[in-house]
Amino acid sequence: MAELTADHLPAVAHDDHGHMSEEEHNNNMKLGVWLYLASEIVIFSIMIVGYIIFRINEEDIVAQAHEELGVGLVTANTFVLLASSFFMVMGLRAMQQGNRAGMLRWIGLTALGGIVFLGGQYIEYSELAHLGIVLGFDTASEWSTFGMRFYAPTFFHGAHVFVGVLWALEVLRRGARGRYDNNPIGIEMFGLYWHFVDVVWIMLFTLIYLV
Amino acid sequence: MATIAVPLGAQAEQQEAEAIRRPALSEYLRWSVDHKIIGVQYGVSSFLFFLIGGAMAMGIRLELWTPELDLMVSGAAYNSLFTIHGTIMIFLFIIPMWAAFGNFVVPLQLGAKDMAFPWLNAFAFWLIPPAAIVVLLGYFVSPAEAGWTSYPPLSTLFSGDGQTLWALGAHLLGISSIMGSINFIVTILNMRPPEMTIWRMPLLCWAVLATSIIAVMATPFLAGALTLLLLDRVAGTTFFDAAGGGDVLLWQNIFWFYSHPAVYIMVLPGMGVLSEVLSIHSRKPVFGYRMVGLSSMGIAFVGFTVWAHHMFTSLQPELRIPFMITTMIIAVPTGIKMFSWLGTIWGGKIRFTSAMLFALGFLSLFVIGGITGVMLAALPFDIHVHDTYFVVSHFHFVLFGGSVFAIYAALYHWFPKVTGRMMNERLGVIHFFFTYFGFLFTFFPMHIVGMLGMPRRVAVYAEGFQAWNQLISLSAFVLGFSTFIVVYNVIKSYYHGPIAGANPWRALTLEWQTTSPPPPTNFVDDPIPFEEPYGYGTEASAAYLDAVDEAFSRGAPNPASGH
Amino acid sequence: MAEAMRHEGERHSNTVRLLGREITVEGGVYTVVFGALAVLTVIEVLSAEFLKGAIHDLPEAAATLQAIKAILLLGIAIIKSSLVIWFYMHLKSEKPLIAVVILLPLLIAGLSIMYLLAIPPSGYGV
Repeated sequence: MAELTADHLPAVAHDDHGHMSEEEHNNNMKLGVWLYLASEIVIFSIMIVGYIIFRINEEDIVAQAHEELGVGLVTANTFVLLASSFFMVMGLRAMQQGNRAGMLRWIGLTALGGIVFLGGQYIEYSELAHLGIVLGFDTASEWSTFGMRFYAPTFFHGAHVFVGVLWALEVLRRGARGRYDNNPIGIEMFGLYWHFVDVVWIMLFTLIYLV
Repeated sequence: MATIAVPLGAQAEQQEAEAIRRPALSEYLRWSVDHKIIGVQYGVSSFLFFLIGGAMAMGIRLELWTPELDLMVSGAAYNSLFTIHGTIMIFLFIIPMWAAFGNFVVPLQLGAKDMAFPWLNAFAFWLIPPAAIVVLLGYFVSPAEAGWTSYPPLSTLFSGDGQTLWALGAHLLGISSIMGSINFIVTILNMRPPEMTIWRMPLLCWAVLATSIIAVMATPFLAGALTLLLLDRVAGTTFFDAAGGGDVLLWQNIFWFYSHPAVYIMVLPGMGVLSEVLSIHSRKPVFGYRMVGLSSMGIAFVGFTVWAHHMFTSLQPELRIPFMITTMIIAVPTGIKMFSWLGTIWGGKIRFTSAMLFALGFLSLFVIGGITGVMLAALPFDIHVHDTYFVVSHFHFVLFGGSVFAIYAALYHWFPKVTGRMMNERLGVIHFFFTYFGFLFTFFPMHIVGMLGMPRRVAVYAEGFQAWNQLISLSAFVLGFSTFIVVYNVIKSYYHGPIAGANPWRALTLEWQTTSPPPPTNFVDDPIPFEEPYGYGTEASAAYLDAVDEAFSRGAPNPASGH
Repeated sequence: MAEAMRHEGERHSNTVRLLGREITVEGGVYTVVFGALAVLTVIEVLSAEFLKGAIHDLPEAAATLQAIKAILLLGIAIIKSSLVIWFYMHLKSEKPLIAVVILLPLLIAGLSIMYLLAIPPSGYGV
C-alpha cells in the first residue's frame, strides 16, 4: 500500500473535529429558515385562496362586511406591524454594530408591536362576534359563509404573530445574556420569520380589507 | 510509476484488526442526534409499520376470498380496513423509510460528519411515534372510512372521530416530513466537500434532493387542506360542504396538489437507490449520469402539473386533455432513467447479489407500472377502468414493485454498512423469489379483473370474479410470508453474519471509505471523493479497488467473490 | 471577502442615495424603506376608500372600477412586500439560491391559486 498516497490531492477544508465553521453554520441556518418560509407560503396560499374564491362569488356579502368593519382599526394595526418589522431590522443592525443594549431596546419594541397587534385583532374579533360573524356555518345568519373564510387566514396569521412574540421574548432573554454578541445569526433567523409574517399581513390586509 | 491518487484512508486496514463497533441497542431507543442512529430508528419503526400494514392487507385479501362479507361485519368495517392500510403504508412506511436511508447514507456519501441540523433531525423522527399512535388510535376508536384520500363529504359528514384523529396524525407526519426535507436540502446543498461539485454527487443524493424539494413545496398543501378539513370536522365550518356554500372539489384539487407530487416522494429515492445498486453490482459507471440527475429534477417539476388526472371523472371535460398530455410527458424523464439503468448494466460484470436481484426486479416491475400509468393517463381507457382493480394494480406495481423492491435492494446493499455484517445471500435469494413471484401473481391478475370491471374498495363483488380473487389472495399470502424471510435474515445476520469490512461491494462512493459501521464522527480522516462517483475503469479507481481486494485477501472476509 | 465587507458597510451606513440625492437619517436605508412602506399604506387605504365611493356613485362603471381597484391595490401590496423581502430580509445581499427558494413556492402557489380561481367552484349556485 506504500505507493498509494493521497498526498498531492487538495487538502480538504473541513476542520478537525467535525465542527462547522461559523460561516457554514450561519449559511445552513439561514437556508433552513428560508426553506421553512417557502413551505409557509404554500400553506398561506391555501388559506387565502378560500377567501379569494368567496370574494369573487359573493361580492355583496363582502361589500357589506367592509361596510361594517371599516378600515380604521385595521389600518392602525397594519401600521403597528409594519413598525415592528422596522424595529426588528433596527435591532439586528444594532447587534451587528455590537450594540447589545440597542438591540434589546429595538427587539423589545418589536415584541411590543406584536402584542399590540394581537390586542387590536382581539378587539376586531369581538366586534365581529357582536355582529354575529362567527367561525362556524350557521344557516340563521346572513354571514353564514363569510366567517370561516375571514377567520381562517387572519387567525392563522395571528397565531404566527403570537409565536413570533414568544420567539422575540426568547431572543431578548438570550440576547441579554450575551448569546448574540459574537454571532447575531439567531436574531437574523427570528428577523426573517418576523418580516415574513409582516409580508403575509401586507397581502392579507390588501386582499381581505381593501380589495 | 507515479503515485496514483487513491482515497483509501487508514480505515480499511484498521477494520481488519478490530472487531466491529456498533452502538448498543439501547441507543436506538433514546433521543439521539446522530444521523446514523436516527436513520436506523426511522428504518426499524417504518418496517414495523410495514408489517402492521401488511397484516391489514392480509385481512383485506382474506375478506375477498369469497364474494360475500365473511371476515368483516359490514362494508364500513372493510372501508376502514383499507383506509388504515393505505394510510399506514404511505405515511408511516414508505415516506419515513426513505428518510431512513436518506439519513443514514446521504451524509456519508457527502463525506459529512452529520446532517446540517442534527437536533431538528431527531425532532422530525420523534414526531412519528405520537402521530402513529394518534392514527392507530383513531382506527380503534371510530375508524376513518374515507380511504387514504379522505374525500369529503365521506370524510366530513360520514366518518367518525377516527377521521379527525387521522387528519391530526397526517398533519404531524406532514410536519415531520417537511422538517426532514429542509434538513436534506441544506445538507446536500451546503455540506458537500469542496471538490464534490453538484455534478459529482452520487445519484442517491440527487434523488433525495429532488424528493426533498417536492416535500417542502407540496406537503404544505396537505397541511393547509387538513387544517380546513379539521375545521370542518370540529369547528362547524363548511369549506368542503356544498350545502353550506363550500366546495367539495376544492379538497380534491388541493389534496392532489400534494399527493401527486407525493407519489414521486415515494419513488424518486428508490430510483436513486437503483442507480447506485445497478452501477455498483455490475461495476460499471452509470450511463448518462447528468441526464439521470436532471431527470430527477424534471420528474419533480413536471410532477406538479399532473394532479388532475386523479380527477378525470370529476374534472370539467375541457381540462381533461391538457392533463392527459402533462401526465404522458412525465413518462419521458422516467423513461430516461429506465434507459440509463439498462445502459448501465449492459455489458457490465453483473453480480447476482440479493441487492442486484431486487434492483432487477424493480426494473421489470416498474416498467409495467409505468406503462399502465401511461395507459391510465389515456383518457378513454381511464374512463373505462376508473375506480377498478386496474388502478389498484397500477399503483401497487409502482409502490410495491417500485418503492418496496428498491427498499429491499437498499436494505441488502447498505445493511453491511449499517451493521458491519453481511446479510445471508442464500436467504436473500430465496426471499427475492418468494417476493417476486408472490407479487407478480398478486398484482398482475388485478389488471385483468379490473378490466373485466371489478370495482375497487368493495368487500362484496360479483361471483364471477371469485376464482381470480382466490388466486390473488393465495399469492398475497405467499407475498406476506416472504416478509418473514427477510425479518429472519436481518435478525440472524445482525448477530451472526460474516464481517463485512469497509467496502464489500467494491463501491467508489464515500460511504464505503469508512469502517462498517462508521465511527460516531463518520470518518477518521477526511474522505476524498473520486472525480466521478461511479468512475469504474479509471486508473484511480482500479488502483483503489486493487488495494481493497488486497486488504480482503489478507484475511478479511470477501463476500463479493462468493458468487 | 471584500464583497462581504462592502455589504456590511452598506447595511450600516446612515446615508442613502435616493433619486439622485443623498439622504442622511438614523437607520439609513431601513428608515427610508419604512417611510416608503408607511406612505404606500396611506396611499393604498385612501385610494381604496376613494374607489369604493366612486364605485358606489357610478354603478354603470362599477366592474371596470372594481378591476382597476383590485389591480392597483394588489400592485401596491406586492411592491410593499418586495421592499420588505429585498431590504429587511436582505434578499439584496443573499446568494441567488435564496431567491430561487422564495420564488419557487410563489410560482407553485401562484399557479395553484390561478387554477382554483379559473375553474368553476362546484359548491356555489346550489
